Amino acid sequence: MSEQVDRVAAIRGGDPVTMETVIRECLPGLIRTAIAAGLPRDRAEDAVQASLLVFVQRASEYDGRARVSTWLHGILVRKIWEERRTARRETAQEDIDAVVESRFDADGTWVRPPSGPEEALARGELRRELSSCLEALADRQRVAFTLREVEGFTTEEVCNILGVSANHLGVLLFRARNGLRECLEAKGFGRSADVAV
Amino acid sequence: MLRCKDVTRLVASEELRTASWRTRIGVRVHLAFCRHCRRYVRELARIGAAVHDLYRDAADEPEREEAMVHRVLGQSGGPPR
Repeated sequence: MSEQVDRVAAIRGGDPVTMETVIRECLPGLIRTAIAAGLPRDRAEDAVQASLLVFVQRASEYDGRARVSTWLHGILVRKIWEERRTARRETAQEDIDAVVESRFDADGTWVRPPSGPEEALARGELRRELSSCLEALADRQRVAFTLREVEGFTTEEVCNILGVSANHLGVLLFRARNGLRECLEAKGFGRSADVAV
Repeated sequence: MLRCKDVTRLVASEELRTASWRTRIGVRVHLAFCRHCRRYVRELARIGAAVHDLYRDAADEPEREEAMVHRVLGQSGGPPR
C-alpha cells in the first residue's frame, strides 16, 4: 500500500498541518508498538518522541512507496532494537516449536488436540492472564503479532517495519500465536464454558 | 494430502495467504473434515481479538498523547499554537 501523491508531497515539504495530522494519526499505534517491543510506558513514550523527531527531520526523504505509518513504525522499531543491541536477551523461545511438534504424531495428525479459548474471551477476567502470556513471548514475536492483530498492518508492511523476510515473519507469527495459545490453554482457558461468561 | 500439522503451520504463520490455489483449497477441504483444526483456527482468531482489545484499551491515554504532540511540534519548530 502506498500513500496518496499529494500527501507525500506535503510530508516531503514539511507542511505543518500535514505533519501534525500524521503525528496525531500515528501516535497511539506507535506507543502501543513501543510497549509491545518490551518498553515500560515512560520509556515507550521517550522512544516514540525521539522517532517522531527523526521523522520530522527526515520528512524530505520520504518517498511514498510505503504508507507513512509504516515508515514511522519502521523508524521506531529500528530505534528500539538499536538501543537494545548491547543488552539483548533473546530467550530460548524456540521451545515453543518442540511443544507444537509434540502435539502431532509421526503422520502429522493431532495426538493432543487443541483445547484453548474457543469462545470470545471475557475482558476483565482474561486481562491479567493474557498479559502474562504476552510477556512470556520474545519481544520480536510480540511486536510482529501486535503489528498484525492490533495495528492492522499487512504482512508485507510488517516485514518492511521489522526489516525481515516473509519467511522470518512467518516463523515469528507462528511462535507468537502458538506461544499464546499454549500458554492460555495451560492456564485452563477453554477447558470449560465458565471462562466465556 | 495436507496433514493437521501442515494446516496449523500454514494458518499460524500466515503463509496460507501467499500459498498456491492448490494449497489453499487443500486447507479448506481439510478444515471441512477436521474439527480439531477448525477449533485451532477459531482459537487463534479469539486470541488475536483479545490481544487487540487489550492493547487498544490499555494504551489509550489521550492527555499524555496530546502533551507529546505539543512537545514534538514545539521541538521541531512546528506550527505556532
